[in-house]
Amino acid sequence: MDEKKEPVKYTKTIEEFLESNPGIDKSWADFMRPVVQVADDDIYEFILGAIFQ
Amino acid sequence: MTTQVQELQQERLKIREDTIAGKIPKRVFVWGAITLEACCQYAGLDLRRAHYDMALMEQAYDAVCKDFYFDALPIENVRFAGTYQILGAKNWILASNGAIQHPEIETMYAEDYDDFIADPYNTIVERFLPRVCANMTGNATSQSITLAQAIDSFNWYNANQFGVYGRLIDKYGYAPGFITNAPCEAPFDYLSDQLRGFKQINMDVRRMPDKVKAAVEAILPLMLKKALHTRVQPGVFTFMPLHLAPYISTKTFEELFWPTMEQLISTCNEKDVYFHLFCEQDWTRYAEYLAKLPSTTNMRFEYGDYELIKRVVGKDHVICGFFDPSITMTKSKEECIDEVKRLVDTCAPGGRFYFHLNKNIMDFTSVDANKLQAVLEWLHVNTNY
Repeated sequence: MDEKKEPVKYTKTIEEFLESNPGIDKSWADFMRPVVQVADDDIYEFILGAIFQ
Repeated sequence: MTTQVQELQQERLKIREDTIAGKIPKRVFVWGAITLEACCQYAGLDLRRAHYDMALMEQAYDAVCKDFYFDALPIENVRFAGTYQILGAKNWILASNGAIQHPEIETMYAEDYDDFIADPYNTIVERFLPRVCANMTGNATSQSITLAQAIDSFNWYNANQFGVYGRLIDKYGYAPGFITNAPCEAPFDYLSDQLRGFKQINMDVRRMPDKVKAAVEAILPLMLKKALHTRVQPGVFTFMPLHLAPYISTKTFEELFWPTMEQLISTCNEKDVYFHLFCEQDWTRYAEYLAKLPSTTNMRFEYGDYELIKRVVGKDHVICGFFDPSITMTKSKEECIDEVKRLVDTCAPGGRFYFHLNKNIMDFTSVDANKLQAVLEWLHVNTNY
């Protein structure tokens, strides 16, 4: 695989996460959403704040 | 915490609360910021070791807290050496003396404007991050591991440093200062500081003002999300350091700087998230603009006509700053006290004023510690209303 053609994604929506992890029951989506959201916010704050501000 | 320290803390909390509420406080609140670099210098400790040793860091902070009068914790350290080294950051560099420096960089190129305007966050992550961090290149797995290590390091610094802050606050009975939320930037400054750089942005505003306008409008939602993150508490003060406005024309300010800055602050204000602005350099010519911001906004000034700023901005807003600690190198102790007395006599009447140094102290070779102590003590004892 030519990795240059595959942009790196550091954040995923809950739907993307479930899609790439088919073993996880979709009924867990609501339970997991805030957890994923918190992780996503941490990365967002770190990149925009600690590195680019 | 002893009863005496508890009483002192209660007094400080009341003074802070009254200042924010626009009531006449018991006396002028005294605040300042001294960086880790200067704390180590003052305490005679090796800064290069302190970056990686929380016990040394605490010793350095404690020396400053013990010897200088402040009503809130006077410490600043937001740049963590270990984190930037993990990333291989080119925008925050550890100098040989241990100081963390920000060199002028161009992370975003002129040809990136269109993609940036279409999707700013992804462009920052996918394109600019590898440019500014040498260790964020390579395959996806190694990039993910580097990012995870850097975030872990950042969280470690923050968690431990806030533990140190907590102990110092308890020991000295400090009140909170006037910054209680993660920082945020005016969209124009965000574009200028780390993405285009000081030199490039000054050409962009002449060569492609439409793209600059579209770019700052694209940044606004990012800054709103940053200021209004999921765990924010109503009533917090978000720190906004302001950089480029004094270096651009008033016309450019009106068209490109002010609209998104005002919108950011007003939108956050509607959600009870307020701003502490640090108006770096001289903002006197923008006083009328600052006066239009929500009255919950408090502002620190580096330089400027404080008589005019008090009259125009300070009638409805809390203001502070103006006192340059480096004057202690050229003036006598009495002259320094006269200087701060003039400032207090002009800005304190009517309330909505607290004392803050006009810039953070990051080098004690440019400040006379004994004269600064005398100024702070004078403020503590002589500014009762």
